[in-house]
Amino acid sequence: MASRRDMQDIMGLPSTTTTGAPKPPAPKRPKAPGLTGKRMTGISREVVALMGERPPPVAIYDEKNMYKSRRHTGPAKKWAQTPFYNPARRDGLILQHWRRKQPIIRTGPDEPDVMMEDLDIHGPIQIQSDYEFAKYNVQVDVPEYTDEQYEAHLQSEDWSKEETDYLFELVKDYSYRWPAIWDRYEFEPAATTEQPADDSGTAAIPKKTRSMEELKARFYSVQAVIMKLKTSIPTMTPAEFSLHETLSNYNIKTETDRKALATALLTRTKEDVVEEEFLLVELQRICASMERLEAERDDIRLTHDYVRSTASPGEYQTFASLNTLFQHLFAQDKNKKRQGTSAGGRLSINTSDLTNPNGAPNNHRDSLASAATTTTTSTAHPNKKGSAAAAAAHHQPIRHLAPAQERRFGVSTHDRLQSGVVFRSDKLSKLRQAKSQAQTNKLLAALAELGIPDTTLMCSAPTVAAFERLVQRVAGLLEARKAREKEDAEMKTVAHMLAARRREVAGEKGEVPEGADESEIRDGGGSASAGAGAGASVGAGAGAGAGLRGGEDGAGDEEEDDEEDEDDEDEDANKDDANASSRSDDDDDDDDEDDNDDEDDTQDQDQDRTLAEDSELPDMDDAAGSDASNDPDPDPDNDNDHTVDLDDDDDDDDTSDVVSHNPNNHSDNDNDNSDDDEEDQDEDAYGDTDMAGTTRPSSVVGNGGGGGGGGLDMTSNSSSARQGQGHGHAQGVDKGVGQAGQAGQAAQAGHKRSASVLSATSRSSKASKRTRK
Amino acid sequence: MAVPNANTAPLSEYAGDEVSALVLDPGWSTTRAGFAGEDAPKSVIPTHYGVSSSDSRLFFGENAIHSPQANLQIKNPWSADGIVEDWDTAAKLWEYSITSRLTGPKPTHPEKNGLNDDPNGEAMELDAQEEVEKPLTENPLLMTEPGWNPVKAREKYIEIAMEDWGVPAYWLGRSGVLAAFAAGKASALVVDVGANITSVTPVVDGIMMKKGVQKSPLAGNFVSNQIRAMFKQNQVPLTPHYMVSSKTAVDAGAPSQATYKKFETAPPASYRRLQEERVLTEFKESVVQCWTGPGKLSNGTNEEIAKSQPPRPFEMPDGWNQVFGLDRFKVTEGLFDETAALEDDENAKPTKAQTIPAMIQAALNQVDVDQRPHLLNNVVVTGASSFLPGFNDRLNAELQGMYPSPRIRLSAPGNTIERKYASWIGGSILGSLGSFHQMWISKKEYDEHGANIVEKRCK
Ligand SMILES: Nc1ncnc2c1ncn2[C@@H]1O[C@H](COP(=O)(O)OP(=O)(O)OP(=O)(O)O)[C@@H](O)[C@H]1O
Ligand SMILES: [Mg+2]
Repeated sequence: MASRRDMQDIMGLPSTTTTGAPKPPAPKRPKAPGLTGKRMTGISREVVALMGERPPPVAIYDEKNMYKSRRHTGPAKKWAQTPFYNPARRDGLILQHWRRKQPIIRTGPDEPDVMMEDLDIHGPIQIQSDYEFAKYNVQVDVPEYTDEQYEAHLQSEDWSKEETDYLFELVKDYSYRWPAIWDRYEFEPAATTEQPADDSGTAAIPKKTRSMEELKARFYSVQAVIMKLKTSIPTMTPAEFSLHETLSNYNIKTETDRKALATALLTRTKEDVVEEEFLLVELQRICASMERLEAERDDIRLTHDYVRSTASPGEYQTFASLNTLFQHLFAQDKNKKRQGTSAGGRLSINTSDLTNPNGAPNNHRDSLASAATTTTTSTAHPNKKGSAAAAAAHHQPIRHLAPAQERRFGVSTHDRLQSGVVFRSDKLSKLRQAKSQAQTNKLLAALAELGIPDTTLMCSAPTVAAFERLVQRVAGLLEARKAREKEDAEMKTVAHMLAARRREVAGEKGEVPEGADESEIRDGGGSASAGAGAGASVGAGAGAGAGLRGGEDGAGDEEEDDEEDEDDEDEDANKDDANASSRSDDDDDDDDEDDNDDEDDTQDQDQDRTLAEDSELPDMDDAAGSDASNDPDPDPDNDNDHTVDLDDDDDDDDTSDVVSHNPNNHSDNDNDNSDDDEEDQDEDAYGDTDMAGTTRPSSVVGNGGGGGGGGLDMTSNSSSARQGQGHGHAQGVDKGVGQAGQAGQAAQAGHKRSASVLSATSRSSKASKRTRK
Repeated sequence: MAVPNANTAPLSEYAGDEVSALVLDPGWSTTRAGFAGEDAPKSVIPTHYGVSSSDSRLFFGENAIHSPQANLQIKNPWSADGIVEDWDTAAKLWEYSITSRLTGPKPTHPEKNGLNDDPNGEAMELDAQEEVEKPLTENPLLMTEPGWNPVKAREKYIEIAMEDWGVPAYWLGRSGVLAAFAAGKASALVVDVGANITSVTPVVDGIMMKKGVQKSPLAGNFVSNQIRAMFKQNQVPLTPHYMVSSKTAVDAGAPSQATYKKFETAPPASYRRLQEERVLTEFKESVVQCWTGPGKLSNGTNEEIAKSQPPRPFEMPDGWNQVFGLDRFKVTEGLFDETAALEDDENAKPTKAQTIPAMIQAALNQVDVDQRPHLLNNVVVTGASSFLPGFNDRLNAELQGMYPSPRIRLSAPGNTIERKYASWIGGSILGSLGSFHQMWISKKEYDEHGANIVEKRCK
């Protein structure tokens, strides 16, 4: 739910409550010092004007605001040696220090100096008795024990009471500074006058040197006992108890050992130290490399596993900052693209020329860059997208992200962004709408057939992208089907015409081998349909087209299509057809130089052209259908068979999809090669520049017919038509069959064709022959 | 006198509260005195004094002792062990150091105040002082003492101050601790290279580690004697200034061509020695150098390296001059390496334990091991003899050699005053601290507890 903060954020208002630690309110900018703010009074206006905006090179002060010396102009303050008594002392020592003479006290004669003797003699009349430094007289707290307590609890074989007393005294004197206590510890066992020499043991004892640890141990043990006596263990506060624990756990041995170690450490030889240093460096090195290894491993794990955001998302929590981030990415992308266009040329035109039959908003992502991005954008952590992207772009200037990184961070680049917020779900529903109701219905039918639910899909970016592609392909297929149906209808007409003519000829010449003709025609048709099929996408495309076509009627399609963009093209195509029909005679005898190759080439070029049209579609699969176009369709008339064949082709070629048999699935993959092919055509089909430049969808028939239209003159017509208006060929979607391998040939063919009008008849007849073989 | 300005500095921040205390720092070569709170002693007088052999009168102060007189014996109240020997004179000398420049003698009856006596030089007449009422009744007195001062000597100090001078309050500080304070450290290993004694004093938390205090005679005088020995070896004539009336320039090594002063009776040998010492100090200041290490001068090629360094010229007061090369290193080497010390019938060979590195080691070994690294990180070098060029480098090298692992840091103020008078400055700081004023031993306490109170109060 959008909170007030979000709204502020989006609208770019300064937010009152910022993220994280609340910033102190921006301090009001102090007015420019000196001139601008306040008018100076001491200087004439002209002089001030001379200064201009900038502060003068020398500081100019208003006289009134100038530092006033605090000099007391009155009579000099009097100081006096004032006697004081330090409460920290017990002995009443009176010292003198200099103090301001207190005017109130000054009652006596106006003698500035009060001599110390006077004070001593006359008594401390004005003695200051609170001394500010007395508070530093801090006494340490040393536990005390009574004689009885000592007798009862603190006896020790090693320690006499006198020595214990002495120890405690020292501890008090030296405020627990054990080094000092130990340093000054000189216990002399009480002169031992009463024991002359009766005991040899005591005589030996006298000056005992005790280690600091012994002193500590004795003191701590006594202290622990006293603590326990004061408060029994259960009633101790936690602090007291832990202190008690520490005290009673003091271990001489470990302490002594520790000190021995410390001594050894201190008295190491130079070699030891050098060696240690060396080892330390080595250790550091090992640690560092371990860290690196660990980091690398983490990296791998991350790429395989999940995205762990390491950047602080705080910086990019606001809409505005995210916006800037995108802006940066954009700019970067544009730069990249500009370079790309200068080299590639055609790309942007094709992209913008894209006819999207569904009228769906053009994918505003850059076709190249986003292809990778869209398909790969991580869906794992959509909510982290912002932060991760933020992290990615955190460093200025913008970092160039590798595709893998982009995927990982969920960064996508866009050509232009619509302002405001766009919901993907909106886009999804929009995609379901075609330009016309009929189209929409068909689209919906297709989607239904594919089993895609009407209701919401998960609106993640990849889903939307995939759906978009799907819709585009469906549209393409619909188109292809339309084209094919047109073509079929035309074929029929032509076949009728041919038959009629033959009959005429037969009528003139007498008997004619009907069957051969028939078969030729049929073969030609087969050829044509092969060409069309190839154009319309061998394999999945065709399969899908076939699948989609269902039992629908081609004519109906055409009529419906009239409403659409392609109307004029359709008309053109029809005109061409008409031309072709009318002129077919003229071209009949034209060059026979073109052989079978040419025919193949025609097909290839058709395919290529088709592909060029589809170039906006992303992600080409090069491997797909490299030789599909060469596949002659043995059974031209049978649509269904044709479909099956193509399908088979697809099986061979399309390795990317497991369920490639299912035409529905192919819709995703069919167009994979469009990029490559388009390029191929751009580079190779120099003879066909105009065609490529003016490619338009769906005026295909001529071409298809030309390719396969066996024995008719049409082809030449359609060729000329092609030259004139660059026909279209939108055989829809299709995977350009045989693209990579045949692009060269296609270009060649295109070239030849544009150079000389082909004899459609001869070609088609040859094709028929070849097919028959 | 810097008076804390109540307007500007809040007293709590200033932490000082001056009570016009006096600070007296007696040393073998000079005796320093001044007011607590100042940054240098105002009164620095030579510790040597003159005794008239005819009437046993005492003469203090530079002017008195440096003028050649036939019957003026020069003496020093200190023993060779760095403990006051001649208490009576020491007390007078110290009193002179204070009264001559700081407080001034008490105004007394003109007949008795000595002003009307026939003054002999600038020397204060002690007879007059005797009559005077106690001289220091106004100011608390803080005195420094060497760390090895025996209890008796300490008691003597307070006795003199309380009974002879009548100070209202007294305190006795260890010079090593005060030097550490002057360096701004509460814990330090103080290496004081003075004239008579070099001492090493470990200080932990402002308390001197008694067991760790080390002293040895390898100090300024030792170096002087080494130079003498070297001069003797090289037949260098050592002529003090007072003997020369005029000189002419001669070539290096050539015999001097000077006219000497004629004395009816030559000043006594002690006087000559004192004057020679001044020349030697000049020599130390300008020529002598410590081998900076690493390693001893005798190690490997070190002597060659030292030889290759440019020699330094020195001209005696009588014009004799010469350049000194390796010799200028050799005379100090004995401070660090007992085997390198020059030896003759006047100079016994020092022992290893007397060398400065050995002393430091011994001092540290007497300190709790946990403190040692900290002390090594806070080595404070004071004493005017540490001005020998290269001394600190050498000391550092020696310490590094002995203790390779802990971090060693020497702190030796470059400022001459601070280096020379470190313990006085420490006393000045301490004596002007507001929180210190509870530490004074007052006259009353002294009267109550006797002189031994100094043992309890001035640890
Ligand atoms: N610049 C110098 N270079 C070398 N030695 C110097 C220098 N100045 C003074 N000395 C020597 O330093 C010694 C005096 O040092 P200092 O004043 O620290 O001794 P002191 O404190 O009076 O003596 P002690 O500490 O033994 O009681 C003299 O021997 C003097 O020759
Ligand atoms: Mg000294």
